Amino acid sequence: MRGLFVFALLTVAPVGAQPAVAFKVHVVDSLSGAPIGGANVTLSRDNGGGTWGRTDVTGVFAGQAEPTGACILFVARKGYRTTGGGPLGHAVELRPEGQNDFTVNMLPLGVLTGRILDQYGDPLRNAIVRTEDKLSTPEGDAFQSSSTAVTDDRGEYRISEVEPGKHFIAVEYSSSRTERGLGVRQSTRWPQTGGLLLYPNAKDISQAYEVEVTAGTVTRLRDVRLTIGPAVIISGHIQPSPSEQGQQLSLTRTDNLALNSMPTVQGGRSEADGSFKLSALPGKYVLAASDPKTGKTSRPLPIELADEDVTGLTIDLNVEYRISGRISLEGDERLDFSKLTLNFGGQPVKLDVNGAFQSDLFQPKGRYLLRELPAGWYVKSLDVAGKRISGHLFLIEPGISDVTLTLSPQAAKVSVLAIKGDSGLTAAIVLLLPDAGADPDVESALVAEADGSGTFTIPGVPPGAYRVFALDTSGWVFAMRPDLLLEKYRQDAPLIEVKERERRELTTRTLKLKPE
Amino acid sequence: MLPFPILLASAVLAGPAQQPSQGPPVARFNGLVVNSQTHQPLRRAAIMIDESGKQWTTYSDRDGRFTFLNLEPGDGTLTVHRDGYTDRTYKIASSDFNKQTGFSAELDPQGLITGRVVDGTGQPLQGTVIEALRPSAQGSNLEAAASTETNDVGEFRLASLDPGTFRVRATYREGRTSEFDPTPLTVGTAWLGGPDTPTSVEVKSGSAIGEIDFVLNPVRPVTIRGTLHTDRGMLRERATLWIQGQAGEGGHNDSAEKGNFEVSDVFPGTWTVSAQTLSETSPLFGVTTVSVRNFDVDGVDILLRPVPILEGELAIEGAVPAGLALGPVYFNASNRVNSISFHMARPDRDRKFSTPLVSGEYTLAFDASITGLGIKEVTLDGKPVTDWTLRISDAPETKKLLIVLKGAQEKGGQQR
Repeated sequence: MRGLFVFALLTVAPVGAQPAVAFKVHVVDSLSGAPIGGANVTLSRDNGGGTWGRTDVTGVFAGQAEPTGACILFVARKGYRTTGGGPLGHAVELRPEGQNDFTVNMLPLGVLTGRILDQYGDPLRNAIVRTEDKLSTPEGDAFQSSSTAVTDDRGEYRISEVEPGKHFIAVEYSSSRTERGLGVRQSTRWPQTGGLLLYPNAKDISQAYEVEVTAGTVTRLRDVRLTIGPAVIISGHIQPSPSEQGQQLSLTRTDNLALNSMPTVQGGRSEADGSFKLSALPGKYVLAASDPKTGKTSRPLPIELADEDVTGLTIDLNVEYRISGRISLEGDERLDFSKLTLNFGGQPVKLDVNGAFQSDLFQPKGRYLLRELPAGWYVKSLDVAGKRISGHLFLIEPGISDVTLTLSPQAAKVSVLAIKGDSGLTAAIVLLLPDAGADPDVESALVAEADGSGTFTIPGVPPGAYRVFALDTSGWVFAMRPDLLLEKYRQDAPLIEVKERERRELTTRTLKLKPE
Repeated sequence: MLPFPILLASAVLAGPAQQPSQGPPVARFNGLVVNSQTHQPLRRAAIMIDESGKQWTTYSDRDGRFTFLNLEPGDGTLTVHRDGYTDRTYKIASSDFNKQTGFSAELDPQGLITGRVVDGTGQPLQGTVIEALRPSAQGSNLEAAASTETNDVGEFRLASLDPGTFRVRATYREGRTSEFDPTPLTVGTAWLGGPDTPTSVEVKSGSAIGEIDFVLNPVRPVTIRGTLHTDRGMLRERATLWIQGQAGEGGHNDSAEKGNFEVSDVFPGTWTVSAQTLSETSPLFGVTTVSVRNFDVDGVDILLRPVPILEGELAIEGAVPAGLALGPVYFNASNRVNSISFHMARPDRDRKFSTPLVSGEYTLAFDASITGLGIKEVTLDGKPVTDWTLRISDAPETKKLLIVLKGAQEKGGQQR
């Protein structure tokens, strides 16, 4: 479905045999009201095909297209983002008669500039400067970066297309990344040098400032001094010596920043005698070791690297996070366990004929994923060490933990007939999102894609309360952010409650997206 | 375990270098790194001493000075590296160690090209890739020596250029930024000076060349369609297609079935399109040049002819070593005209081989089992081959390559 949909959007065909009607798109700066020239305008028909062009200096694109009614108007211009409409454009109706004038407002994004110097006050070229925005995930805080720039020979940078609002700023430099990025083929292999800080001069996020970016303005930040140092050595001994298979060491940055030039995790292997040596740039890390063969792991070791090698570490493999589990079936119906795929973040576990399994997590956090469940079955419950868990994510204590997944053949079946909404577009996808009060379990979203008949059927629905979302192509990407859907549109989606084995049919309109 | 071929210096930039893990610490080496033009000290330069593969590294301090402690004195090299300067290597000898007067290393500043890119309406084109290209080490194809992108006001600063003569190209792409982006791909590309009279820029050490400006009008890529023929009519076999621009850009494979081909996403410019059948021993090959403007190009016909065969022989003048087994001869195409730029011919028991080679220039290379015997001379159709460069004409006749080796009695010939 996804591939077909994208193909349909990208197929920009010439105007067809039907008499074409004229339309005009006015693209306007939402702050100043000034016209925006050079914007790409794509008018896509609901069934694929469309018209493309660029706005002139008066911000207008005048085109012709078949009067098919519902269309998606997508406008893109560097330095701006559209306001209103869905992530994939505005739903508009092209009428055979009368005016077809559409106005699209675009918000000018911000620009951050500044200068990066090294510890001696000399300009630092090829440093990466990026925005860092905190993102809450079920597994903790992470950072994402949407805007980035590289310093020039004067150490100057311009980060463009910065979303208005507050952002952390990370500055990093890595000589090996620079050489790769520039395609430099050097006959000499130089040791890696580099550095990392958070604006204005912080080692970790707790000391960093957020900078405020205003729409349509250029903000100059203070000069930043980044100390460049060579990578240092972390060495020591793992005991007992791990077996020869798999990766045994992981070095993870403490702050989960969206860096792309220095890996947040470095892997490595120890020698046969358990000795190891890693190389890393200064910063705060967590070092851990594990033995894939025995399932034993170490307690995470925080390390702060400055300008000295860290040697003589002893890493004890004295902890295990092991699951001893089984799949339990409710009722008399049997399942062929060999056809199920169950994993906890790594390779699928081996299920025996009775549904029993073993798995090593190597860490306290676990997340299960069960696939190939036959129609009509659902996961009724997850019990970890005797406690009922809601959702897919769980924590275990060191040692061996009992995990029981109970499956039931009593799933409900929901059929949704999605009718065209105000946009005039047909639904491309239907989502059932569990509506369980203030903290909904968006990971358990159920999705049905169009089968051509207009009806979307989901066979394995666990009993419970759900919000039903029918999304057209302009809002289709919301299927990947069910949390945002619930946050913005919960009250616009019908609420249903289904019971075991229930066969529910309902009709709903395609969701109308609100202007931002 | 991670490889550590280099013995790292002390973890403090500009601190004295540590001793290697082996050998008696007996010598020191100190010096100064300066800009060759201003004679100002260069801080944060990396300095490496290499003695037959044993390496020490350190960095210059805030005064541009560096010190290695506890080295093993000997003959070797000292290489200096600093962003914005051309790397420089000096030969050093035992006498250079433990000197009161430090070693002085001078680095030449690299050059800079700056400019701006706008569209036909004068609006800046952010994200335009600017490349400085020069002839590759082999052949006349161009390769990028440095590249950068324009910023939000369309400006670029292309730094880190060693002295030389460069052609400058600007390429702007828009659309298809993700699978959800319905904006069709458009591309604007231009050479400095234009396609008909491209101009070169001479970059000198420390020079800054400004106002290298471009006006680009991005257009939709087009499709090239055509047919493949032989002297007997339409080609029936499958063929691989290769299309690339003047500077070797955009080189990619495609294929043709039953004599028809179609290559999409081609941008305006002049392209070399070649086709070759899949036979390893007697392929057919044809090539043509296609000029693309803003519209699809139909009716391109490529005539395929048999690829000339090169028959080779490795003759040994001296005694033939017992159990001799010779490895391959390599032919590296200087100017790539098809998807294969590297050919290998493996001699048989009689030390003969045969390989099809499309007309053009090739650089010869040999397996160590051949060079170990010493190469006395190489001739093509009786004429000496110099500089290891083989020129294959498009005449259909079979060519004869003779490689005369010295054999076991006369080692020490030319090395390749």
